[in-house]
Amino acid sequence: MHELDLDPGTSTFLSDVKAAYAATPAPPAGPALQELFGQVVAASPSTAHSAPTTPRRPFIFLDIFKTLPSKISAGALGAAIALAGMGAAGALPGSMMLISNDDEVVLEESAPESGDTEEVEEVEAAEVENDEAEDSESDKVEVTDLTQVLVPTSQSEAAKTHAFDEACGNHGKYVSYYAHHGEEPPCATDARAAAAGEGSGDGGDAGAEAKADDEASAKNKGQAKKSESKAQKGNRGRK
Amino acid sequence: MALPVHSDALAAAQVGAGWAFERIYDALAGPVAGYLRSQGVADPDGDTHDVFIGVFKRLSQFEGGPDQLRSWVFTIAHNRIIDGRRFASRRPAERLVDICPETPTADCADAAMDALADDQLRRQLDLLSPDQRDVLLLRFVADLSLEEAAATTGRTVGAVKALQHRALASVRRSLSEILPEAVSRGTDHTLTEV
Repeated sequence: MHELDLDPGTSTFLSDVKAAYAATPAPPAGPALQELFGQVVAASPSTAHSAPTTPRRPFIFLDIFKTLPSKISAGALGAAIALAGMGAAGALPGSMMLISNDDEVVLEESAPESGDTEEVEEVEAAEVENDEAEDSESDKVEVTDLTQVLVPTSQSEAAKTHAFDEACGNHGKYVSYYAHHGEEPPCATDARAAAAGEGSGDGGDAGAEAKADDEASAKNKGQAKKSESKAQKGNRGRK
Repeated sequence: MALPVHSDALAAAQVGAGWAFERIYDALAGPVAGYLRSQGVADPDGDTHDVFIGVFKRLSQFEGGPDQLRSWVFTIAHNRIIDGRRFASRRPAERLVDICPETPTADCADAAMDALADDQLRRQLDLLSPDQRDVLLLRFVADLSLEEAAATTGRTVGAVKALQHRALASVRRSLSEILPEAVSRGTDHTLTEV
């Protein structure tokens, strides 16, 4: 703007104008504005629909699931894409998607309609206990998700992190705390700790299970080879 | 100078987050109040308050980023000035008297001196056409870019550049007609009597 070639008089005049007006402090907010400043985002689907879309969210979830054991990631990946789609539509702040083993995405509102009573019960229990459920496989998968969620390093990243919306009540509380304190709120750190505590046992078990399967199959192969060679020796002997 | 409004605060404000409203207010209310004051409105603080009430109530329908938000906010403020021009008449002497009762805590004499300095600056600004004054103040007080000033006034960038050029030429001409002592000043920001 100020590549203009100004004479001293005009330059001084503009400096005077700027000094007189540009540094005006913000007037104190009146009662109506104070009321607006105290407003908290309601955790309802209707307000959530006005949230802006974040097209990058699906890739965050895809990256998270790359590190999971293959058994879990195969089932969870498809659900994660649907989860990101729901987030893009703005529904995440208002509701939480739970992931089932059967590649089915079960919405908390539509859970009773799914037809699978057992699954529905697991979903409802997890919702009530707010990420602390330990029984169902779907919750194990979700707990593992929280351990993989990166800690935001900026307000921008915090605004895009929705993994703790339910643990903290709503997305606005999470973002608001981060904006004021520069770090995640206790509800998020607690959820991470809870997920890490549950996930290490469960994830380890799943990993050990996969390993045991591989070892067992390797053992079987080895035994098959041994018996094969034995049989060959036996045949040679007979000849 | 206006503080930047982060896109995250804008996104949060659009879903009704109160903390985000406050961030936007802190970033833009000062420059808006300064712009309104430089345009000679009778109650810049009150008008600033009204501008932001209107902004926050309609923010959910706003489409754009932080730069477009600045243009939009100043457009609303600018439109209030346009409306006010149809009715207001400037009476500097009366304003000097009015300022003291309306200032709850400031010293009355200081407030009167500030008003006098404002008047002197505004006398120079009044020599400009309203369109030239608008562009000059949006560019040098509100610190808007050419594109933002164009969006605020509903003009093309070329038209804003032309108005700015003519405004600066008018200022240069009017200052050259004033006695040299009136425009040579060191650190004193107040204009001397003509």
